[in-house]
Amino acid sequence: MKNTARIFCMCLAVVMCFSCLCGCGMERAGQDLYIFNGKGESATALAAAAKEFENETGKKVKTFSLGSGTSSIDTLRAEMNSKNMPTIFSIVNIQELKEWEEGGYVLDFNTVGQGKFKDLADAVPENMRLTSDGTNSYGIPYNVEGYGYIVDTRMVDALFGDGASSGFIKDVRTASYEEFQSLVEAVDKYIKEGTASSVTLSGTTYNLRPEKAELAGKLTGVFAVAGADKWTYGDHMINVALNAVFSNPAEAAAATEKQIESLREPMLSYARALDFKTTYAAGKNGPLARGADFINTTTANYDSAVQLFADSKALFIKQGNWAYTNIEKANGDIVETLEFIPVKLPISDAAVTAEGMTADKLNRSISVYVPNYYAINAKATEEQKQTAMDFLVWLNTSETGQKFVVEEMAFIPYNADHQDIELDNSLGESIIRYMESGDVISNPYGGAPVTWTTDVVGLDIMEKYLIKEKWTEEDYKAIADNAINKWKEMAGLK
Amino acid sequence: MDKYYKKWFLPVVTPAAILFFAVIVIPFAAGVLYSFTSWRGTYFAGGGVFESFVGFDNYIAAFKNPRFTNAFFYTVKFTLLAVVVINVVALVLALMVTSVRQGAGVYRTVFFLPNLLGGLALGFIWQFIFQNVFSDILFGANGIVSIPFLTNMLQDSNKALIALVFMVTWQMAGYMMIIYITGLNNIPADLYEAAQIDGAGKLQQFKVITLPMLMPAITIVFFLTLANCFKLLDQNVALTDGNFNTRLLAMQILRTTRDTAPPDYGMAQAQAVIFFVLIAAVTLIQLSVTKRREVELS
Amino acid sequence: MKKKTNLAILYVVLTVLSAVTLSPLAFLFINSFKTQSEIIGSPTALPEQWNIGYIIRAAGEIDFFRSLTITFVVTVLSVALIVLVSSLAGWIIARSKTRLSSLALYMFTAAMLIPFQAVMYPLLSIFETAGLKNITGLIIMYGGFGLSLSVFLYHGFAKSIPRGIEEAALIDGAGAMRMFFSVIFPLMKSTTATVIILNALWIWNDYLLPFLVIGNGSNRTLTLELYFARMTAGQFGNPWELIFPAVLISIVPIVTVFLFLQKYIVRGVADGAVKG
Repeated sequence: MKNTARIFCMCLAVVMCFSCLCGCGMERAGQDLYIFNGKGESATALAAAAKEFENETGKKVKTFSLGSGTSSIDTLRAEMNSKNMPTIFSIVNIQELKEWEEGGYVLDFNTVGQGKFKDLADAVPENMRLTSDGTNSYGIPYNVEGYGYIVDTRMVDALFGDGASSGFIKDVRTASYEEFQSLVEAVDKYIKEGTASSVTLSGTTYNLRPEKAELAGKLTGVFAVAGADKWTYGDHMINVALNAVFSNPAEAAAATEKQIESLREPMLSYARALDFKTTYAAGKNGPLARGADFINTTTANYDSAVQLFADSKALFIKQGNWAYTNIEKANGDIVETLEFIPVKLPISDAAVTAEGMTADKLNRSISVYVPNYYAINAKATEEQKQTAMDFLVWLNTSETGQKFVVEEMAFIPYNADHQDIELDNSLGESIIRYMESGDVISNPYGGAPVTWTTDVVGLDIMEKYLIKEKWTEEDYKAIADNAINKWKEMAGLK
Repeated sequence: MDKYYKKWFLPVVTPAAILFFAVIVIPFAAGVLYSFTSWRGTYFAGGGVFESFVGFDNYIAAFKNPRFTNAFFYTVKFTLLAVVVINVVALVLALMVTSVRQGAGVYRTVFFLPNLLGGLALGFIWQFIFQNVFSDILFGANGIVSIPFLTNMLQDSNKALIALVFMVTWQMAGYMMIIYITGLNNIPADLYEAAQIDGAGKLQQFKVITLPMLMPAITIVFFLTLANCFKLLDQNVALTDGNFNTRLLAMQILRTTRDTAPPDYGMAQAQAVIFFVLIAAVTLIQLSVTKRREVELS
Repeated sequence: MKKKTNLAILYVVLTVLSAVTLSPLAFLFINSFKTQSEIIGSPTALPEQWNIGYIIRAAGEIDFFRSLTITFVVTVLSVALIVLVSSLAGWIIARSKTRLSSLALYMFTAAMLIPFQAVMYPLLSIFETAGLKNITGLIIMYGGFGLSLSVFLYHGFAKSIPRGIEEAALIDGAGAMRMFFSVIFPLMKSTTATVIILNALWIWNDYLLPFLVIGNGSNRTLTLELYFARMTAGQFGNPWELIFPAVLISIVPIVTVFLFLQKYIVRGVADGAVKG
């Protein structure tokens, strides 16, 4: 039995040796720049860019990437508590900015001396800045993203005749909500009963083919809806309504009671539009009606909605360009021919109070915004800060840096001249077209009280209404009331 | 001899004590201290630890937070139910497995297997079971037998509780069964023979012999299930993610820091302390009650 | 006759229950051979083709053999540390009748009930300061977390060992350490088995602690690799055609170990627990 003792002594010895090896092997603060990246999908590309920067400057760069959302913020906090803090880290929006600002972790770019970095920071368009009071500026945008209803132009051709799509996309973009509504109803009838009617969009009439084309025969509904993923109707669809009152996240974060109150009409419009949309949802083998199945976490989640759309079972899916890779995986044939069209609301000019916004503009625009910012750690040493600034300047202005942004990360740069950019991505191209025409709205939902969009309004809708067959005027009112009361409560105005 | 042990106590216990203090005691003490401050995770609002001292504010806020109180009672409900169900199922399985001669080993292995697994995919699999297999194939309107209660179990606070108990039983019952099997095997056969001669029926034998003799096993199974169910987190996140008011306390504490901006770590820490007091109280009561019964019965 | 029918019914019930118990695993298995579309579209159906490509891809993506080795090393060393330290502590606490020793027992028992969330952040910053945010630190943390239950179990078992054995060994002139390892420790085999299983299972499957301690470092465990593979696959949605095969191969080692050692494991769980 002495063997046991020996084995244990050996084990102990191994533990100790191993500890030593690990301890010595760890590179401790052996780098000039540490980047904490909160956007997991750009991990490889950012690491490659860092490597390139290393080669050019001789500075040692370490990158650490994690997916957006929950766990990455926990890890970032743990890193901030450590001696080896990141010098560049990412911030999603103004709400997330609060803790870093209060804790003194973010560098205000206004305090930076003249130089290339100052120029870069000053050149960030006003409405894209990460700012808590309108004057300070804490972030360099990663890129821009956008979302709307995604439509496959081949499907449009299949419905309205070959070649119809180019005109259709243009006309549906400027169409009113009522026109969009009759389009949906007509297509729904076509799917369910085969009735080929015609619809008028922005003055042009489109006729549904009398004989269903093969592709159109696959349709089971008009919209692919992810009822179980509350962010899809929480964050993004509500955001369209918020644009009626707020022009940017900073305004939403500083909302007055009066402004919140004026959200009531837009939220009613939102509820109506959501009711309408969810009435015409596609399912796996036929239309999907509201009810328990509508919020089934295994069959009505984001993945299944993408799958439905990719299988040509739905005409529209409300998603952003980030869905490109998911759609591609579900069906590679479809991705080349995708386009965005705006998410429209039944709203009047009287209800639109945001400066410079009209009901018409709201309904012909898609939301394009910065999903993530690079911030610089104010607690880093001057030398580290300087390297961080050099890196950001290099990434965003040099030709090599831009190549990484556009080609490797597959980002739409926030600052480049869009005509010069060749994106290998139909959705990205579509967003650029909207940006060029100026038909873009912002992302005020990023300034709403944290969790308000998803865990308060979205959850309420999921739990109470998406399982309900018919919605009434009272339901619309209840949705809007809940949204407004909770915002006031969460913002401490009540 | 006592002197000898006394002499050796410190040297022998020291490694454990060092580990214990470094990993648990000191961090926990720091955590308790932080629960009285407005700690934000990476800094203290208002300066250092002492400048941001807020007294019992975090505790008061925790009890005023409907999410916390809801999670508190939901956890108690869940744990009570789960502990009973797991114990009964484990005991029944043990009784069945010990009653068969052939293949007992195979059944034992199969029932133990779920214990080996954890992780991300399990949650998804179980969602499928409740949302598709239960809701459509087995108990749906067009299923094998229509039992509306067993459909869409993840869309209602009470039904989700039962679904969670179901899943946890699947995971833990096999382990507890093994403990019961040994307990059963340790009961001398002549006790039963004697009872039979006295004319006791099966049920009576179970009540008079099996249960009392199993008391030590029951104590440990209760302790293990109680502690595990109270602290349950992964399964909760995987099944409902807290929707439909189904947050358990562990998840509530984890999510508190995401419910506000800036994150309120002070209040999360206060909730964790309350949580600890609750678990400690219940478990100690349970231990002393079952231990006392063991003594009485033996 | 009646007895035979009863037995038959028993077998039927047991077999049905076994099938129910195994069904989630069967689900995992069949979905490890499917495309994403097949998984989403018809999750309960058998794969159209038994394509092993997904498993191979998953193995590459999570750097299977490397992460397996790391997980293995971490699990073995952590468990060894726990067994070593807690067997000694459990034994001496059971033997020593001082007030200090009963206080120690209470503290270890109470610590079992501390939720991880209550110590998470302070723990990380303490280890950071000590320069232990690495594999070594991870092993030490596991050592600390595994300690309380293990001490509790060892203590319970040590109580039942007659002191006479130790006295005899001491008269022979053995030192305390030598006496413990040559006499007591072998006697506590069954508890050791329990402690090993309980801790190994938990450490093998744990993801939160490696995530917080190692994060994106180069020494990633299996669960961590799986997590990162999922994270870098896209912003939303889950790449199930990667997750299912990855989970499948990551549980194969532990299931294999279990099947080979099940006789000991089962006996260990049982003996150790009941005498505890």
